[in-house]
Amino acid sequence: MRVEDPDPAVVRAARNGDLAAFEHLVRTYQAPVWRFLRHLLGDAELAEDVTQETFVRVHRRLASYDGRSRFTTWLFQVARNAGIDALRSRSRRERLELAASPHVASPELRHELDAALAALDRDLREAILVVEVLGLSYVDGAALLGVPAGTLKSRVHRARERLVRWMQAGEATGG
Amino acid sequence: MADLLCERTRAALSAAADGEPAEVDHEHVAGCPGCSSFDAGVRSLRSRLRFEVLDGAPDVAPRVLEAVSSQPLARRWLPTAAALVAGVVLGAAFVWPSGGDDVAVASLPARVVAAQHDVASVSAQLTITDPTETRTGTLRYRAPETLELRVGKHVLSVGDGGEPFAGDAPVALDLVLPVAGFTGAAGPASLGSRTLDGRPAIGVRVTAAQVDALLTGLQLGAESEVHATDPVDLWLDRDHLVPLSVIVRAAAGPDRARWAAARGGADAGDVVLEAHLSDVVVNDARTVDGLQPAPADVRSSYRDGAPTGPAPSWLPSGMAPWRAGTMDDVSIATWTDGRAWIKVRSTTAWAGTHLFGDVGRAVRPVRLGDGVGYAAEGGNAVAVHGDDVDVVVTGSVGPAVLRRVATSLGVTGRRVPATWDEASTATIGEVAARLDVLVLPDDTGFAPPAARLDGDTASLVFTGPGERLLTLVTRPGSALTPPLDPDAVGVVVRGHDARWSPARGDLEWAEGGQVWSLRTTTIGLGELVGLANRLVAS
Repeated sequence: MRVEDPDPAVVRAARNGDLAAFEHLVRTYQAPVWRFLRHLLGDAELAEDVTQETFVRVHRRLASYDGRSRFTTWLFQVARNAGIDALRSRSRRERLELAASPHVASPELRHELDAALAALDRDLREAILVVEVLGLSYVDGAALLGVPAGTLKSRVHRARERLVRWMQAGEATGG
Repeated sequence: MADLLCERTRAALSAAADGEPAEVDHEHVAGCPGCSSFDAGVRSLRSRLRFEVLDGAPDVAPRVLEAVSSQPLARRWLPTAAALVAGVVLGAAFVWPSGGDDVAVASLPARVVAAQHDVASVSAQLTITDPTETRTGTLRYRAPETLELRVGKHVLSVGDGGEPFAGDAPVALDLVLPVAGFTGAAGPASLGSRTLDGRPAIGVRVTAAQVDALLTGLQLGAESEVHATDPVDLWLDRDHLVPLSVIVRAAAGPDRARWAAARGGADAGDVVLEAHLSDVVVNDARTVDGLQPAPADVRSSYRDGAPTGPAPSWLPSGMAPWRAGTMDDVSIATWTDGRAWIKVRSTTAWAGTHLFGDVGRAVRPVRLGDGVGYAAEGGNAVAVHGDDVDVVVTGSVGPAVLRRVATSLGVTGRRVPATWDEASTATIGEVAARLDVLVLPDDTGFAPPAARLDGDTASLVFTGPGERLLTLVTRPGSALTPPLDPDAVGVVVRGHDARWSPARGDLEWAEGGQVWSLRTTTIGLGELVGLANRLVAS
């Protein structure tokens, strides 16, 4: 499933303050944005909040979207940044919680793909998400993440190696 | 441990899975348990990630639309350009402490207005620091509409050969209004004088909402978040009023704290954004030599050419024709005297169910010769619905001038059809015939409100400098509805028990047989209560 760009006329109308056009954009892209964020954040509820925040930011910043990059690339950049902000916020809270109780990985979670994704470094997690969840090419995904295409390619591969190992370990232990 | 051949094979399998040209050694895969298992794993991963069932994807559209409908229209870059090159937009934003003793600051409003016509070019180096990084860049501006801002790898170009003065949203430059009426509910103060980058500078403290356009520019390419109520220390070049230093600190208060909690924001008093300009050169054409407008957005349907719509027969002196053209069915003409500008957009093909020209729902009917026009919240746009043409006049010249330009178009404005959004737009007098009406006194710095009547509910929208916006909603009633916001707090307003809901920025109380709600996202609780206490009967 590749996320297609909208009709430029819709983006233009939304940019000019047409709320119906903006709503069309929200309804078209909220599901892929939420999926991307759910995997990035590993938390469906937080992803919902951040999806909302993403589109509020998109509305606020539409004027700065100059049409030179793909709209979806720009949209997912906004989503990614909103997600990173949420992760930063959460990691602050979690540091406090961790200080109170040492974290023990739950054996149930261990076999969940979300847990596997959560265990990846953010660089690798983002790489696999833009390619697998969003279905972007290396070139478009690299533009979204602001890295060279070759870097994205090697990160995707490293992420796959780890995720496949994780899934196989789960299967081997009966998960 | 996989050997080198396995490593290479798996990398090729991975690339091939993404549709990249890759030579996969299928013979090796077939014979190697590790690689065939990796191949199967890649497919399995794809089916789990890419083709997952979409059940459970939430519908956030209603909440997003609710949030953005209280948000100012998408901000445009032109005001940023103006804000970056001179304090012009800030002129209206200053809320003057009475009896300020700094002569330079006291005379600033008038000088700020004058600077609009004095600054032909600016170049400067920029250093911008937010909690995560420091970025450097350059700023180059040539009047009236060419700006290039480079920050890190981000480049912002304004004046790209597309629609001139693009954007019909309230333009901050419009806010060059007499400043005498602004007094300090929030008490922004003079910070005194000092020397910055070898230049004499004067400082003032404002709020982020007041200098929204400037901060938008400084956040180019960053996701640092500034709250509307955050205090901003702003240092301007004493001679040209170009900003030299901008320091934004996190405000205190329950609304800010709640907002920050959702974003991992800073604690009260922390610096959230800091920018310094250096090597500032004003009005030396050599420093902007070679500053090229960016290539036009190929997706834009704007084309330079002769405008086809109604033209004003009156313009302020010094205004000369600037770029004109068409965009789809819309004719566009602009005039400028260098920095200040006026734009007339018109169409004979308007099929919308609201006023043409993106003027917002809260508009005020205004008299235009023998007809009627609709002034936008801040008075920086006037829309006219004619018999066979729809027109909007925008510009940086203030509401009275815009109205005069609109009157001179030769289009007799009609009331909007009853089915249009603005049909419930009312005058204060019409509202007052149905309900008690409270308004803010002139000296609070807010413009006369735009009013609406929807059944027995009246809404008054008050616009202040920058992005400061207040909506007062009232309806008959004697008790508040139960609180929706778990963080709601009790306060006393006008001698009545009131409730403040930080999530919605809503201050509610019952008074005189009516329920009142004062809503804002750009003013902190302390100042809001002060403004509520100053509301007077209209």
